[in-house]
Amino acid sequence: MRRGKLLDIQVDLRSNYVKLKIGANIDVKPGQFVMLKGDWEEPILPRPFSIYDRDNISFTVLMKIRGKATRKLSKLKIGGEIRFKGPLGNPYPEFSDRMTYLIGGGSGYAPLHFYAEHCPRKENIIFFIGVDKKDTREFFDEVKGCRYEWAVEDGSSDYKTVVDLIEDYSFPPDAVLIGCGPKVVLQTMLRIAEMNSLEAYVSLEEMMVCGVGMCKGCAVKVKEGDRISIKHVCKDGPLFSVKEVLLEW
Amino acid sequence: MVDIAVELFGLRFKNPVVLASGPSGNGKEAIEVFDLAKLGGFTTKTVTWEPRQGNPPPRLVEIYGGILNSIGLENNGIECFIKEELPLLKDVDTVKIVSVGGDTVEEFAQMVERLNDIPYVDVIELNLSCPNVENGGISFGKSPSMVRKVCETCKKMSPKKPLMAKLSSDVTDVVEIASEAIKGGIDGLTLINSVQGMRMNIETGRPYLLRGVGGMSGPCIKPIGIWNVYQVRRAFPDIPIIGTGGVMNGEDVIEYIMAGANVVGIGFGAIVDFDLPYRVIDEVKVFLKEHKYGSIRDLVSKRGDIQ
Repeated sequence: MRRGKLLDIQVDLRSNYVKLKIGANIDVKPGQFVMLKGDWEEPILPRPFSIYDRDNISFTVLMKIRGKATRKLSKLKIGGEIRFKGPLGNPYPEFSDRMTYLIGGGSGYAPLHFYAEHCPRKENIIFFIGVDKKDTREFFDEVKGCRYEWAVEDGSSDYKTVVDLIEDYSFPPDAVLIGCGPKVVLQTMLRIAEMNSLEAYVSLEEMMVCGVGMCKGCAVKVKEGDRISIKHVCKDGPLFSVKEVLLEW
Repeated sequence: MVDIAVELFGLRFKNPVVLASGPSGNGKEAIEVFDLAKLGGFTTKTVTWEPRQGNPPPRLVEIYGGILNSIGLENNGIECFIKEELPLLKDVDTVKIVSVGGDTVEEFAQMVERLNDIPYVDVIELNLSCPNVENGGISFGKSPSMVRKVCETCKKMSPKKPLMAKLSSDVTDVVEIASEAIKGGIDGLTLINSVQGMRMNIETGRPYLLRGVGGMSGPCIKPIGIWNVYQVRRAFPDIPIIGTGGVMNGEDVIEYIMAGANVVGIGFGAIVDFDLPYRVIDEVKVFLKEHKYGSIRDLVSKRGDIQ
């Protein structure tokens, strides 16, 4: 695994989100991810995280504090060592001339943020993002030039959930939808896309160990015509077309 | 200079470190992320007669000191493996071990027969211990008579190629199972496979994995691997053994060899950190040098009597 120093850490204990800025120049494209852990024995597995942002000397990941690994990562000190492998996975395709709706919730915002940052035509990007509270919304940086619709569970905006937001919205026929977030959001997106024949993609997450397609841990069921086959989030994804992906086994 | 090469079945392993079957796949991805020619050998992920989708997710859950997996032998079947996947390894300068698994004795035999004709397959390993399938796998590996039958039938199909059996530690007496495999004509043993275990999700009250049981791997299982290798070596001083389970560093390799292994497999550790196998090899060299062993053979001959 490669090593990098923690250049900056922002922890928001009200929202339980963390941004880690790691000093390493990696050629990572929007949609790709890294697997990282601190310089410790336990938890033993590096965790996959989408890239939130990058520049020539560093990359940043955004995570919610959920379990042991993210809690330990949130307590790292600046200058602390991070081990990582990546970039892994495939970049998201570009649709700069079409209206692109980036739909997500929670830490699913990370790859969408990076994608929009790199999109040459920001005016074509509309975000539909769901978060649990106002504090989270404030912790998530907006990409300048893009439009944002927020759904906040604490009732501080018009919509409480991103599911309600997208159910109420009429997407234009040539829209492209890219989703990353809780399964319920992706399932709703999938249904809306099917009903309206929209081009849509979902970015998936699964437990994984190798990150390159060897261990077969992050299996996804897909349909290719009448045939059902198995793909893997790390190697074939993380983005899958709603035309092929089966979210249930 | 210390000599870390090992000779087994008349094959030269450049060093005692091989990639164990499973985690590192069938070679397609492994040739991209590892320099396999720097390793003693590479074992392909278990292939079956028919393609298999594997088990529904979640397939992995972390445990203290490792993971619990329920992959379920996902693979494209032996025909696709032989046509499309195995040839990628043809020119890789390492010992090539192909792992096969079957639901029936006949399936095992058919696969061994198919592989017997492929000159660059150096060793065939019978997976008699997968914990994550309904038939074959560990259900065969727990039955001494079945182990003997599979070994006997397969050996007839492959009289020339070295045939190994990968055994499970989840048995009452591993020595009895090993003994039946040897009576069946097996040339060597791989010990151990992942160890059966379970983790409950205390929020839902259900096991994390859909099948409940999974296979534990990682450093948490190393003492089990060492103990199983030791028992079998004590009973069978000459049978070639690949010791595997929880190897994370050079000292672990030394420990396995001292317990009786000829060659040591790495699974989990190698896919968490792709640089780990080379680091392990370097650490083995340093250990031998510092302890004034000239070679692996030297280490084996000077290890304490196993009794």
